[in-house]
Amino acid sequence: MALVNTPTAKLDFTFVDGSGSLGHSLIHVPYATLAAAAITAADAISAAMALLTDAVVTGYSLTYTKFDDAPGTPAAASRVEKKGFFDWRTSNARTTSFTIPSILDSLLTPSGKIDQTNADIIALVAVVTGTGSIFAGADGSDIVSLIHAYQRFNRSSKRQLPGDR
Amino acid sequence: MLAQLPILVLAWLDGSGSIGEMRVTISSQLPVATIDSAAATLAAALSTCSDAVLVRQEITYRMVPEDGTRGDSGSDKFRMGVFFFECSDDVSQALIQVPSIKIDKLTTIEPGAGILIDVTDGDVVSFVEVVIDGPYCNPFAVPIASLLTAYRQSRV
Repeated sequence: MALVNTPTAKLDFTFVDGSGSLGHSLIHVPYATLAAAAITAADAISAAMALLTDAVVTGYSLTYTKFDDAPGTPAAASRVEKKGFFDWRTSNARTTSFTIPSILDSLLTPSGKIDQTNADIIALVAVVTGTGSIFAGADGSDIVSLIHAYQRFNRSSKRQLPGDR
Repeated sequence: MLAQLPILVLAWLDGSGSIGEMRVTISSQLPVATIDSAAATLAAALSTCSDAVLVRQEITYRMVPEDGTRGDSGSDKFRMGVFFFECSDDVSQALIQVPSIKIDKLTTIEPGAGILIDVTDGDVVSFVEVVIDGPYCNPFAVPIASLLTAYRQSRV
């Protein structure tokens, strides 16, 4: 019932060849490696690989993953396609958004709006916008307030369809 | 390359076995521990708003190109340079693959001409030194210690 880290963080390098096709190279570093050190190491091995390939290294990602090794049981009727959509204002007067999979029905008003007076929503807004919060829009501007929040349904992907259909 | 802002992904499992993700951008290049701590607080707040359960968390730093570019004419991502390394426990291995290995990095001496990578080539030696001297490891966090073999392979 707790998140545990994988043994390593993953460096995924992307290459593009002369046809425009993408290739990848996956390299691991210990999970405890600081991001700054891992990025320095990534730059070093990227430069070394560039001398061996006639494709071009176009970028890379560094991912630290945790997973729950004994997750709880989700509610039987919960569905991740039923989103809670949150539209936020950022400090540079732009907007950003995120969704919460399987928003609770008890947080909705009859219209499908998320009740912003609900204590759990007030607490969530405080976490996202509060002093010291690190959450931002894509341009790095801090999230400062909630504009809209409502229920929205996403189309199910093939993998999300019932297995026994 | 340009550094993008880190992304936090929280993955949620529902009653049908499907997984949905919530993504949010982090405001600056903060350390993993700082993001991890904020993620725990956020996940706790989100958990009271959803009847799915949190099953995975990812923190990703991404570097992207400054301009559009392509490999040389004739480069081919399927022409993979495969480097097998022995790890420091002497029982496990690690593999690093380099897409579109240059033809001139392959040995011309039989046996193995055109297949084996020339491990005496200066660039190959430098690459192997970078790998062995760096923090790299196999997926089980066992450090890479030495090169076992290197060859060309077609990997689709």
